[in-house]
Amino acid sequence: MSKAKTPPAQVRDENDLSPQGFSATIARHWETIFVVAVVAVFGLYVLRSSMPRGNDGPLDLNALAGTPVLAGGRAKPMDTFARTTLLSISKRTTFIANGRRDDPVPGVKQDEAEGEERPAIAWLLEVMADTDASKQYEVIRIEDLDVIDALGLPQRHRFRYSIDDFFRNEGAAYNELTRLTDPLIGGDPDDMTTTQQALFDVRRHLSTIGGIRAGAAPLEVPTDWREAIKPKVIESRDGRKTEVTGYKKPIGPGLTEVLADYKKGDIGSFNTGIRQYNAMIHARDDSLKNPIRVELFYNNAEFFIQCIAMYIAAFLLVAFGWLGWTRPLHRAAFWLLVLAVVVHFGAMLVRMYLMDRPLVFVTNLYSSAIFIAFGGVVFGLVIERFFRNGLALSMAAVIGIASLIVAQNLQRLESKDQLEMMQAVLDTNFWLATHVTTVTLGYSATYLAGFLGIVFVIAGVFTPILDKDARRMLTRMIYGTVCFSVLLSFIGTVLGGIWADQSWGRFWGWDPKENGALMIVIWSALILHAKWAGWFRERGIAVAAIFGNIMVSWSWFGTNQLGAGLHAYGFSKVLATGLVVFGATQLVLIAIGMMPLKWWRSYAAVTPPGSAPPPTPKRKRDKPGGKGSPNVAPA
Amino acid sequence: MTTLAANMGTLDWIAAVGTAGCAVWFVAGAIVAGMGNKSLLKPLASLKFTVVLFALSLVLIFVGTLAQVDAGIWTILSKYFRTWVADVEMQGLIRFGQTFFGTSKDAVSETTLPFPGGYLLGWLMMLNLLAAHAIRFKLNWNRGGVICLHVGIILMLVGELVTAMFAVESQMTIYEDQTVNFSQDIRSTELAVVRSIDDENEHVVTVPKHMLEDGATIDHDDLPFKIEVVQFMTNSAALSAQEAMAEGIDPTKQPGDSGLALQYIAIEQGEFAGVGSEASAVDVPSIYVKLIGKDGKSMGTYLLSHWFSAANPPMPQVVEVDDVKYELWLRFERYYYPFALTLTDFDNGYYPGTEKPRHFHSTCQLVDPTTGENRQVEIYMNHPLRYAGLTFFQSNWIRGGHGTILQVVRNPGWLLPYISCVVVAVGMCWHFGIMLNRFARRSKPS
Repeated sequence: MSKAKTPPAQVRDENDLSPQGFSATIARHWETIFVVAVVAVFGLYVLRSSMPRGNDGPLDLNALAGTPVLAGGRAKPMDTFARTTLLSISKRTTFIANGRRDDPVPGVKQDEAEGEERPAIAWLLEVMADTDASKQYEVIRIEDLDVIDALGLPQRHRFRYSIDDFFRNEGAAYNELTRLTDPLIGGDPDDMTTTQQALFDVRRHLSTIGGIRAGAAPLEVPTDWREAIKPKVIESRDGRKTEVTGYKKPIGPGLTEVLADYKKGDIGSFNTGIRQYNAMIHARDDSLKNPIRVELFYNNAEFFIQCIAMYIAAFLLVAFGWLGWTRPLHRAAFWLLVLAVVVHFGAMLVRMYLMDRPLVFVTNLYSSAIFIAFGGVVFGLVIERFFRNGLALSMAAVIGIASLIVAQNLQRLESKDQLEMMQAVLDTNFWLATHVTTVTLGYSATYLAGFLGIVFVIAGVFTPILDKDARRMLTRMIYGTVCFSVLLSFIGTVLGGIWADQSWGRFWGWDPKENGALMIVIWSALILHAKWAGWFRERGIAVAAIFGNIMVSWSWFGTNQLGAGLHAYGFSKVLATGLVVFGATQLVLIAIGMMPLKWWRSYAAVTPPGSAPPPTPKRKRDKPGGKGSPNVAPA
Repeated sequence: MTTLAANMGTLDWIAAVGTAGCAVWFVAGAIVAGMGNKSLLKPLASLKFTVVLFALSLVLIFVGTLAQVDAGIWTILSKYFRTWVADVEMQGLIRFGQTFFGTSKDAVSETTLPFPGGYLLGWLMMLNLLAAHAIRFKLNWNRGGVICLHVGIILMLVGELVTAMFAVESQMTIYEDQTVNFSQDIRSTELAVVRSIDDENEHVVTVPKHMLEDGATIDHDDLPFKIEVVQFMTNSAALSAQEAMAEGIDPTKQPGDSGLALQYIAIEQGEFAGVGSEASAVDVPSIYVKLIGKDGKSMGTYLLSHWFSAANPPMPQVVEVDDVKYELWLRFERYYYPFALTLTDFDNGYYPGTEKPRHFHSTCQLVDPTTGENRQVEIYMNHPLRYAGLTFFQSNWIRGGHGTILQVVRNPGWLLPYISCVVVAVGMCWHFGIMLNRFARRSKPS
């Protein structure tokens, strides 16, 4: 952490590495070998996790997973449909087969064997084939205790229920559900209580499962699925005209016999039948083959989970590096981050390919979280090249971890196909590629500055390591990052304005999202001007940068909440709580950062109590190579 | 500017005078500075002043965002951003609390606090910027980026001011094969009394919205009757008598007693908010008016509504006076043009198997007798038609009705943001490039 000591520390490190008196050259080789080994281990981990999994039995589940279906307006593998459906019902993409009870009723001995964790596609197959097993799987997640009580369901540790649970005792739970939700049909969800909304969700889940059992969903891929469907106009009895969209052909009828084979237990016929069906669809539309294969690979590899693992490992390497053996560990962390970011970028390219949108990184909230993580890590790596002290590396890793975890949670909460088709108004690759990308990179830069600010406060208040040089260097890192954030946020915001002007003739509409972006620009500009005005020095910039975290979070999630927030439920409620918690932690850090400097351990260590920190010389940047020159380890 | 002056209250005047004072100070300071003495401009040019202005605008933008939960964007514009002094509603903060901290859903506050409005902050920023450059102006390569980006910022502020003062937005609804030569301002409503003279011409008397206050009486020589406003509703729902009864409303207890009011009633609705699902919704006004003959006798209370004007086909309220038929309309204010658009084809489509619109596309014939222009134009998303100082954007369509809705914008300042963003971006890259270069040189190992 302490920059000033790096050159001597490095010499010492090399000595540590060569206690038997190896030459420095050999020590350097050892270091390189170590770095290569770390990267290679994780490279193998990536390869292994990305390998397609074989069928674990005679049943050709992979063939079913690769069956093309139409859902949400696009052709996709059955696997994606299974995952998103199970996710929305169960909040997981796997399920426990054999109806495991992991929450025994008190006093009753648990005698059932542990269930086996199975992929979503296995669940979907059971449901489509309408087997008895499918009714026993506990997959419907109900978290609301009032709902569980109202329906007379037993309490379960994992909050998950089976179809059978609803139809036991002559369908008591199901009848109660119908009775409670019938009056709500057609009503405005905003007028419902949270319990009513939760009840309604349960009903929706049951009817989703029912629809699949009946073979009504998903739809068969038509040959012209890429074309927009012209709506039919229908007139209701009172003369009101509405549009209905044409295509509704379910996949069910085409698979009737195949599924019956499965239900009978005739696995061989099922395997042949499903392969024949796939071949029939591919023969009709040859262009589906590659996207389906790539999407299966993408679903299966779960690249962003791999990235989280690598970012965590990199963070640990950096952190241990501060305790000792600094240079090899930090170099390993750097190259591990490079590997992770390459995988991260590759996964984003796959998304681009699947959506057929070149250079469009961000299409929805989920992909924005993924891209913010990517941007943060890339900025961190670049900054690390200038200040080789591990700080930017650690914060890059932290942003990568945090933002990808946000993405994972968004995926879970939204439970929708994250490669969804875009609304007509957003359907323009040019603006998605320019405006959205730039503005999101601006978010990344602002977060990075904020996290570096947090490092400043924590290191300064709680440790003695933030000495004068370290402070100056850290300040310069934050300052430089804020410069980038103002540049990117400004250009991004203005590009958004131009898009708006192109779309509806209003360059600036003062709408909440635009205002949020503008607030980031103004806040970053404020930090810069306050620095030039002499109001913010080192500590001021750090604390202000932390406040920037709140600004970005407000712009990213907070503004969306306003519309929905008054009736927050489920997804939006979790987001609102998350935002409040994050905001509160940032405010606490700001409060700590604003404590008198005499309580800062780093300041107390070097300055006599009560004395002000030395003012930053105003024109120091005009003296190259002078006192202000940063301490950089020789390359 | 006239509309600006008309809408200004005391606080606005104080703010305006304050800004004008700053401006005079600035001019005087600039003259003195030109003569070599810069002390007069210094306070106005201070960077600390800039920081304060930034902080104030952050607060303004934040409360202006919160207020959009309850009010439409145009109300917000006039109350927060296009005004000298903003009346900040504490209700916005309650909304913030309700969204994030579980504040009681019933909490209400009527309190408003004055706060520097958008015009005031904008002008002060402009003066601050000009003053700063006036006293620190030094034309060299290293300062060039800063000057460039600030020139861009000034252009952007000017652009927003021009938009605020001169931009006019309206909508044009065209059904297939229909020819339309006017657009409607969906934010301002007018009461029109129409008498047809012959097949081609109509005699129209319009009453603007600001005269339609509850209790007001409109009396004009061109009108055969006096109009007394019984109730004006900024946003309303129209129900047929049966629907009203189904909702538990007694249709006979409504103000109207003649004409369409016998079949329909209107109920007041809350104004649409500018956020969430309501962001693109339009208020639909209705009005109950009592007509009083020139002889002083009541002719009954009638219901006029945008619901009737927007119906397909439109439903006029017809009133006969001395065997002459008058049509009464409550309709959006109209702007007539010397040219017309005919919708020859409207095409829209959905993603297969979903309710998600994929595209919508209008093909129109543009005919302008004044210039002899007669051509086919295509209007769709991100592909507007620019003609005669107006821009036509594909905005929406009539579901199942073979009709398109175009957004029509006249904004003389539309090009300014384009120029300014290029200038600012160049300035920023220039300046940060210099800084980065300097930084990289210093970072090199010595």
